[in-house]
Amino acid sequence: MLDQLFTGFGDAFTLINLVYIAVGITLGIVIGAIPGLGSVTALAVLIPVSYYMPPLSAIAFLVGVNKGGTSGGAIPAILLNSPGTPEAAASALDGHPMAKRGEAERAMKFALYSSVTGDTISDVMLIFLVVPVAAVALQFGPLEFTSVLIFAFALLAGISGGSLIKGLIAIVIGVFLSTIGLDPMDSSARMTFGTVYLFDGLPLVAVAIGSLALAAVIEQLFDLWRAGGEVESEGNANMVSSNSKLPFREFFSHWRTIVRSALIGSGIGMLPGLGVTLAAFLSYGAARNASKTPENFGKGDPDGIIATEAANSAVVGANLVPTIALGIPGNIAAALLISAFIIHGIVPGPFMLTMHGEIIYALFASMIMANFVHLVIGRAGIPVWAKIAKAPRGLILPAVIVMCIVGVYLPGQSMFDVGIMLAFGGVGLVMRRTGFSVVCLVIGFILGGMFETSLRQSLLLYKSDFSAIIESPIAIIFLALTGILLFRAGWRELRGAIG
Amino acid sequence: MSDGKPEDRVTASPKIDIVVSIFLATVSIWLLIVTIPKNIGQAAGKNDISPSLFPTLAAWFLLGLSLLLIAVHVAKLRAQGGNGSGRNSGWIVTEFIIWMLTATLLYFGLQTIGFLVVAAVTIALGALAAGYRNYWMIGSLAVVIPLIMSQTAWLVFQVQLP
Repeated sequence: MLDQLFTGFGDAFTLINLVYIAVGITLGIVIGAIPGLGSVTALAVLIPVSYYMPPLSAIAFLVGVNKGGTSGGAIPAILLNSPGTPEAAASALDGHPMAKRGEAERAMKFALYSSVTGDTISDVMLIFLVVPVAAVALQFGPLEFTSVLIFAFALLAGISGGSLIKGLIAIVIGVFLSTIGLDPMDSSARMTFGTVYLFDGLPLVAVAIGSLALAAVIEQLFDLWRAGGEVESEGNANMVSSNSKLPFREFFSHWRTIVRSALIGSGIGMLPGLGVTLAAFLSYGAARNASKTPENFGKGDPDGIIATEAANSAVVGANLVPTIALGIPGNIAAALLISAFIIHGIVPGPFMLTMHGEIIYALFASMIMANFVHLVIGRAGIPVWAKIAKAPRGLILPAVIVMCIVGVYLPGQSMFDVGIMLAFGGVGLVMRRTGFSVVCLVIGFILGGMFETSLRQSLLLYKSDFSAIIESPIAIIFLALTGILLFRAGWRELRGAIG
Repeated sequence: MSDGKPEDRVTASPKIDIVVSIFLATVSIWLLIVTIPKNIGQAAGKNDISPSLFPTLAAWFLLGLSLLLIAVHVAKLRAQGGNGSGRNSGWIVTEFIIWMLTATLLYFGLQTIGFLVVAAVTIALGALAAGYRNYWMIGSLAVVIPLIMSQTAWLVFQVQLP
C-alpha cells in the first residue's frame, strides 16, 4: 500500500495539480465564507467547471473546494456571529466572543490550524481504512448491497432533521426521480414523455445545483425581501485586533482536544448519513465535558473553536471511506463527489480500488498535499477572507443565481438542463420551507440507480424468493439495524406527535 | 445531517405538513394510475422483471408515507386542541409561484434576449429585492459580472453562453 501511495504522490505532485488544488481551496474558502452559502453550494456550483479537467485534477480540485468550503464557514461565524451553515454555529459560540475581545485573527488561526490538523488525521485514517473496508465490501453480492443501501437510507432519514417520515419521503422522491430515463436492464423508455433529453434521466448536476445551491439562495433572497434588507448587527462592527499571534506550540498544547475531536469527526464521517453538524456539536459537547473549566465555554474558550473545526473538517476525509469502499456517500459533499467521479468515468464502489487504483492513491496524495496548501492559503488570506465575509448578501446572492445558470449550461450547453435546474430551485425552496430534507432527495436520486440495479439483480438471482435473506448474515445484520433505527426514530416521532 | 440554516426545520406547522402530505398522496395516486402505466412498458420476457416494478414500488411507498404523515399530524393537531402553531401554507405557495414565474422569465429571456442582459437584470433586480440600495455598486456589478462570466466561458471553456 505504501508503494502505491508513493506512486500516487508521484502522479499527484505536479504543478498543474497543485494549482488546481490551490484554486479549489481558495474558491471553497471564498464561497464558504459568504454567510448562507457554505461548502455544499461551493461544490455544487463548481462541479461543472471540473468537467474540463483531467479526472485526477478534477477530483483534487473538488476535494480542495470541499476542504476550503468547510473551514471557510468558520470565518463569518467568528467575525459576524453569523454562521452560514449549521456546523459553523458551534464555532460562533466561542469564536465570536474571542473576536469581540480583540482576538479575531487569533480565533481564525485557531479555526484554520484545527481544521487542517483534523483533516490530516482523518485523511490518514482514510488511507489506512479504505482497503480493509473495500476488501469486506468485495464479499458483498447484490442482496448485501441492497440491505446496506436500505440501512444507509434509514440512517439518513432518521437523522436528516425533525421527522423520520419526511426524510423517508424525500429519499423515496429522489429514488423515484432516478428511474426516469432508459431502463438500466432492457433500455426501454421510462417516463421520458417522448423527449430525447430525458433518455439519460434527469441531469444530475442540474438537480443537485437547483435543489441545493439555487434553492438556498432563493430562500435567503425571500427572507431578505421580507425583512426589507440586511440588518447591520453588532457583530458587523469593526473589531480592533489587539492580539493576533498564535504560536504552533500554543496551538498544539490543546492536543487532547485536537485528537479527540478529529477522532469523533472521523468516526461520524465514516457512517453514511451522519453529517458535519452532528460531528461539530458532539465534539463541542465532548470538549466541554472533558474541560477543567467548562464554565469558560461560550465565552471565548479556544477549545470550543478547536473542537468544532477539527471535528467538522475530519468528516471531509473520513466520509470518503464508505464513498470509495461501498459507493455510498458519507454525506452530501461526498454524494456530490460521487457525481463528479461518475462524470469522469470512475464508478464508486469496492471495484474502484482495483479498476482505478492509481487515481485513488493519487487522490489520497492530493488530499494530504491539499492540507498543506490549505494551511498556506488560509493563513495568508485571513485579512481577505474577513472582507469577503462582510460583503453584503443582497449583492452576492443574485450573482450566485447567475453563477448557477452558467455552471449548469457550461458542460452540455443545454437550455433543457438550465430549465431543470430552475424548476428544482422551486422544488428545493418548497422542501426547505416545509422541513423536507433536500439532502435526502439528492442522495436518494444519486443512489437510486444503484439501489434499483442491486434490488433487481437480487430478485433475478434468488427468483424473488425472500427467504434467501436468511442465507446472508450481512444482509440480516443490516436489515435488523434498519429495523431498530426505524423503530427508534418512528417511536420518538409518534411520541412527539401525541405529546 | 442538515442542509441549510438551523431554523429550516421549524418553519412548517402541522397544518402545512397536512396540506403537503395530501398533495404528495394525490401525486403518488396520479403516478400509480396514470403516469406509470402510460409511460413505462412491460417486461420483454416471462422471466424478466418489469421496468415499471421499481417506479411503482417507489410510488406506493410515497403514498404510504404521505398517508402516515397525514395521520401523525392529524394526531398532533388533536393533541394541540386543533390549533396548530405557525403560519398557513399560503406564503409558501406565494413564494413558489413568484419563483416559478421568475424562472420562466429567466428561461425564455435567456433564449430570446441572451445571457448578458438577463444576467445583468437578474443581479440588479435581485439586489434591489434583497433591500440593497447602493445603486453605483449594483450597476457596476450588473455590468461587470455577466461580462466576466461570458468572457471566461468563451476564452477558457470555448462555450458561447446563450
